[in-house]
Order: sequence, then C-alpha cells, then structure tokens
Amino acid sequence: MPITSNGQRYLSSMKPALRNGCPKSFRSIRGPALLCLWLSLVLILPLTAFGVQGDSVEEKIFKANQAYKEDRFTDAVALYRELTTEENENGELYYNLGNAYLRSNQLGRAILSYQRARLLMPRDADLKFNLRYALDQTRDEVPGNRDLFTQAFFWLDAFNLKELYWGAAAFNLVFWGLLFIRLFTKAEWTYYTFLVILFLTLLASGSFGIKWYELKTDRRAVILAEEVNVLAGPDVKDTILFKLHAGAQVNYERDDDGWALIGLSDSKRGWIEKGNIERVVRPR
Amino acid sequence: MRKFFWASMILGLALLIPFQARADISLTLELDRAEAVPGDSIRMVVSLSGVRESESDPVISGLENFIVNPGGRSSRIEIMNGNVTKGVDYTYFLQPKKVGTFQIGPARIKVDDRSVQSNHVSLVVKKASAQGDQSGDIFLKTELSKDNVFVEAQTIYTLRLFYRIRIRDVSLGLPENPELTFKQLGKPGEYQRTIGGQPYQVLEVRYALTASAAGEFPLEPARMVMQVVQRNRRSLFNNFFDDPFSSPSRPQTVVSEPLVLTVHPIPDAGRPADFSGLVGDFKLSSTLEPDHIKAGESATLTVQVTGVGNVNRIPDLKVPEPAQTKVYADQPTIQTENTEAGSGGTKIMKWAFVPEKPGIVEIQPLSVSFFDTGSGAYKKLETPAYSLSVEPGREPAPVVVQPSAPQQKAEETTAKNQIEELGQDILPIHTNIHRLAKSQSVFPKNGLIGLGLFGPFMIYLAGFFLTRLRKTTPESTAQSKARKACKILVRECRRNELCHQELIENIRLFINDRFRLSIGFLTSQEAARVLREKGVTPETTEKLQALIARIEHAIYTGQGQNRTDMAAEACQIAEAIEKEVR
Repeated sequence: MPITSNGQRYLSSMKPALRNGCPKSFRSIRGPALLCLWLSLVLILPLTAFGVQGDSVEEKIFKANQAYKEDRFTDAVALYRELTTEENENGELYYNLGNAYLRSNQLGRAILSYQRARLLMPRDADLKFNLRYALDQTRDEVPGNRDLFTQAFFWLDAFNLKELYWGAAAFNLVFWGLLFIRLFTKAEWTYYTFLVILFLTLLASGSFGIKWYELKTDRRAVILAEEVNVLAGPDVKDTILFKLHAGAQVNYERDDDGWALIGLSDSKRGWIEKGNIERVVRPR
Repeated sequence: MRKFFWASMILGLALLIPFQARADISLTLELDRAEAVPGDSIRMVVSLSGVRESESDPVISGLENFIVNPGGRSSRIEIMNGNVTKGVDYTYFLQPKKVGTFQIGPARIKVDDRSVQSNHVSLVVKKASAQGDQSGDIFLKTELSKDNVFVEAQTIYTLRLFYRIRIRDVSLGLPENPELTFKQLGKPGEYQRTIGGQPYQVLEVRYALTASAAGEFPLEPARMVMQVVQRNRRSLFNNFFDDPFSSPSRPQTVVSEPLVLTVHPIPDAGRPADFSGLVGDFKLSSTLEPDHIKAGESATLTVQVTGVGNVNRIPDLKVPEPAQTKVYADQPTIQTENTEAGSGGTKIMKWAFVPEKPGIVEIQPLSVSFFDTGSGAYKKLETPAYSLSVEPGREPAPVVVQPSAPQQKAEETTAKNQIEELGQDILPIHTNIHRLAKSQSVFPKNGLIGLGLFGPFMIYLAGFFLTRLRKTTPESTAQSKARKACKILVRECRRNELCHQELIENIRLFINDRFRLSIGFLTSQEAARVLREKGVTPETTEKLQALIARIEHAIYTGQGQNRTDMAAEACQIAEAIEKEVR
C-alpha cells in the first residue's frame, strides 16, 4: 500500500478531532499533536517520493533485464542507459549495460561501461572477467601508464573512493578519539596505541587523498567508433597521423569546437572528432 | 506541239499524284460485335488508310459510358491486285459501365493539317443473367461459409475464378461497406476442376469476413479484372511457343453474383461482467516457472489465449499483487495467424513474481470470457490457482573437508588432465533488483568528507579547550586537587625514602587538599575533628588519630613503628576515607 494514501487517511481522520471544538482533554495535547503532524509530513513526504521513484526504477530494471534475456539487446541498452544517469550511478547497472553493448557489437561503449563499473565495484569478479574478454577483442595495443604513487599504493585499485573514504574517516575518528582520551589520562597503553593509530590513519588518509587526486585528474577516454582517423589538427583536411579502433584507451587532453586532442602514453598525440570518444570519469 | 503535249502530261501527272494520294486517306471505325453485356471487353479498331503515320491519335466520341483501355497501334502495308495500300490501326478495348444502346463514333484524326472523320457504329449492351455467366471460357463464383453470423463473428468469403483461357495480371475488387472487414486468409490457391466435361483452372481466394454491427448486409458482386492473352490466328504451332507476357492481350472483367449476409447482435442475456467483446473460439493455457524459488529471485507466470476470432479484443489480464511480493508485468504480445478455419492468433501475457520473504505465495486464478459462436453462448476460461514456494535467500553452504587417510591418498593420486578451453564468452548480467536499484556515486559528497575528516578534530579541539579552561579556575583547581589527593598520598607513601616528618606532612597535605582546608600544623586531635565533621566513620577517624599520634611519638622519641608500615597504614586509611566521603 503506498505510504501516501496511508498518510492521507491518517491526516483526514485526525483533522476533525482537532478542528471541531476539541474537548478539554485534547486542548492540552493540541500543540504537541500539531507538532507531531508537521514532523510526520516532513518525514513521510520525502519517503513517499523515494518509494514512488524506487518502484519505477525497479520496474525499469526488470524490463531491461527481461529484454536482455530475450535477446532484445537494443531495447536493453536503451533501458539501462535511462537508468544510469550522472545523478544515479550503479556499478551493477553499468556492468549490465556493458554486457548489452557487447552483445550489440558496440565494443567501445561496452568497454566504457565496464570501466565506469570498475570505479564503483573494482573487486567484482564477473566484471573483471568480462572486461578482460572485451579488452581481448580490441585491435589496438595501447601501452599502459602507471605512475609511481599508483605502483607504491598498489591496493588502491582494489577499493573504490567511497570505501577508502570510510576507512580514512574511521581511522581518523579513532585517532582523534584517542587523543581526546589522552587529555584525561596519560596511561602508557594510550601512547603506544596512539602511535599505531597514527600510522594507520596516515596510510588510510594518504590512500584516500591519492585516489581522490587520481579520479579528479583521470583523463582516460575510450574510442567508441569502429575506426577513427587521428589527425594532426582539428580539421578533416589535416594529415592523418594514425588510426585507432573501438575500445582503445587514450588520454583526453582537451577539446576545441567539436574536436578532442588525445594522447597515448608513448607520446603519440592527435585530434579526433568528439563524438567518437567518451571519457570514463564524467567531467564535473 | 508534241513537246507541249508531253510537258503538260508530265505536269498533270505531277499535280495529280498528290490529289490522288489525298483522295486515298480514309478513317474507319469498327467493333468486334454488335451486342455485349456489362463485364465484356469489346474490341474497337480505328483504321487510318492511305498514310503510314499521323500527327496525333484519333479522338473518338460516344465513349462516356465505357472504360477505355488502349490496345496498341500497328502500321500495315497491303498489296492487292498490284495496288499498295499503307495504313495505321489503333486498337482499343471497351468495357461497358451500364446497359443501353450506345452510338460510338465518329473518330476524327488530323493528317497533313486536314481533319479526317470516320463512320459511327451502334452497340447494344444488355443486362447480364441473374446467375451471372456461369459458363464460357471464364466466370467468377462467390460463396459464404455462413450467411447468418453474430456481430464480430467470422464467416469465410470465398471467390473462385474458373477459366480455360490464358490470363494474366488479375486484380480483384471486393464489395465495399464500412461495417464489413475482409481479411485475406493465406495466398490465393490454384487447382483444376472439371465442369460439364470441360477442364477449368480455378483461382481461389479466401477472406475472413466480420461485421461490426448487426443487420442485413447485401454483398455487391465482386469484380475481377485481368488481361486475356490473345491467340495468334496465323499459326497454331506458333501458339505453343507464345510467351503470355509478351503476346498481345485484352482486358476482361468478370463479376460474381451478389450475396446477402445476416448479422445478429450478441445476446445480452448471460453476458459476464468482464466480457470485452471477444467473439470466436478460444482456449487458455498457463504455466508458472519455476514453482520453487528463493526470496529475491523471480518466477514467471505465462498465460496464453489462442483461438479463431477477434484476437485484438483479448483483454490485458490484471494480476492481483500477493502480500510481500512484487509483480512486474511484461508487454503483452499478439501473434496473428490465418488458418483454414479463419483469422485468429495468440496473445501471450507474462508476469514476474519477486517474493521478498520466504513462505508460500498464492497466485489467484485469472479468467477471460468470450462469446462462443459455435454454441451461441458465453464461455469463461480460467487458469488454475498456483502456489509459489519461496525458500530463504541463498547462504553459503558449509564446506566439509574429509581428510583422507595417507594410504588412501597415495592410491588416489592420479594423473590430472589439462583443462582445455573450448570456447569464450562473457558472464551473464546481474539480476538482483535490490542491488541494481541502489543509487551510488563515484565521489562522496563534499559535506560528508568535511564531516568525516574534520569532525573528530573539531570535537578533540573543543575537548582540549574545555579541559584547559577547567584547570585555570581556582574552583576547578581545588576540585582537581581534591580528586587527586588520595592518589598523591598513596604515590608518596610508596616511596621508600619517606621519613616520619615527610609522612606526617603528606597526611597534612592530603587532609588540606581533600577537604579544601589550610591547616598549617596537623595534630591528631585536629585531624580527628576534621574527619568527624566531614562524616568519616568513627573507626576510621580513630585509626588516623592513632597513626598521627604514633608518627609524632616516633618524631619526638626516635622510636616506634617501622616507617614503611606506617606509610602503608596511612595509604589504607586515606583510601578508606576516600570511600567513605565520596
């Protein structure tokens, strides 16, 4: 039963009692009762909206999954795309979208979706498997590029940013809590515990900070078209420097009037049309 | 004279030839018959003689009551008795639109800026017989499987074209009525039939005919228009090799006899409340797969309604949602098909049930009502009630490892096969709807980051300043001293180097700090008085009084109890005072 109709029935049954010359016994609780009513409205209405929104999202998810199971991959892609907006991201939906793209022979978009899913659920075994499968289908060998920090903090790939944040926040809370305790007692155990917690806090906060920086400066992009010419300048008449194919991962440096400047890690750079490429981390 | 004669002869001949030529141009109009019936195809030829070509085609009057189809143009040269005649023939095929006597012609044509006119002819068009022309080289028959039906019920309308001549390009004109719907059943069929000893080819087309309103509907005759291939008169042998698509042909129309369809209204008596207008003959089937699932998984109920009739009227069934179960309806699909029995099809409806908790989910029966044209009564089709068994969600099964005996292990060691990869594909999609519906984001919200990272620091800072403020006020200092007085005394007493003087001094400091006094010189009586005032028990008071007396005795006489014992006793008494006063 939707909450709204229950809430409305509740309100309508309360109103006459409050409005029509309340008996003495009610007058004393009128104020608190009105306050309760107001609080209920403030709390229930957002829940109602959430509930209604949740129902339509679940129905769409079901229809998308059904379309995929019945091999209607184009319909499945359209429905999953509707669900995965910038405001409402979900790693499992991106994974399903990647599958639907792959079945529709859109390799570039499949890899893009899988990479976006990896930002949210980096340890998912199914995702790793399917992404590996999709990358094996690409035609271009693009060299990888890992900086010193990423190599030193090797565990960063196994956690998403929110998990690292909660880890840092938890250690941070314990650290300052311990210092707070030491305001009142200087027992020896607090000192040694403090040293351990300090180390862990620095490690967790450092990991979070590096991951944050990585994502903020993440300029990875995926080639979407089957084949694109990479030109020397932002004009169709410019010299073709090299070709790239669907699924190739490049660095998105900047854009200019419908063209994007991309680079590969081995210093190859050039311009391609913006419609043929999309960034993994959406710019904010 | 002779020269003048021959010159005039030559001149005269030269002038006469054009006149002679002009005098030979003629235009004639002729029909291949004088009488016809509606549907016949009459051949009309307009012949222009004396020239090989004209500037334009002839204009023929009197053709308003005919459908005119051009049949082509041909040139001819005839040599007869030494005379050479040139000409052009224009051929037309006329189909009468109504009965009557008509004058066709004259035809007019322009040749060398001169207008030439033909003769005119009469044609009598008589009414066709009531039964239509059921004999001859070609005729059309129609029939209804049932001429008494209900509204929206089907009857089969069959057209059969019987012919024993070569025809091509057949087109059909059906009776038109806004309340009648014709739906072709399959492709036209062809077969042979012998009528009156004569073999005929039969072209048969069948339609499912439904009426959307009650009443009597006269069905006008159907018309079939075709091209009849002309026989080549010159040689029967040549006819064998004639290509029907390139041989000359003439248009022909055949009409059928009229029919009457009586449509009765669907009776109101016994009409179910959920009747949607579905008329025909239908069957219903349903399945629930699987019927054993875990909470959070889905089971699909499929309902299929199949039959002959107006399948578009099969209603979209509504499934009541069981408690604690989400129901998702799929888009219904309709597949139409045309069979010998008529036009029908199948409507498939699916629902997914996703129970949230373990137990038994009861799925109520679904029903569809229709009007059975066979029995002339309403019927109700119903699915059975289903029970869906729901088990708790998946838990990891406990793994039991049976260590094998050493001997058994040795025996079990066998050569292992390399796992060969036979194919590659991706893993399937994730289907847990609750996890798919959770909203996530790559970056945590800025407010949350601030709270998580700086919140504890702010709390610590607040605590730090609070504690600092407390220490600076005299009241807080005194309170702090009072709390710590006993601990300080105990700590001091545990120092082994404490002398009697220092011991009594520490006891004095304890009394002063604990009770916020400023006693300069502590005597046993003074200590006892203070303790009594502060509510310490008489027993503890006496103990302290006695201890102080012994310490004083030791100070002044140099004799007495061991310092360490006195210090330990002082600690015990201080802790007892602390407990009694708190």
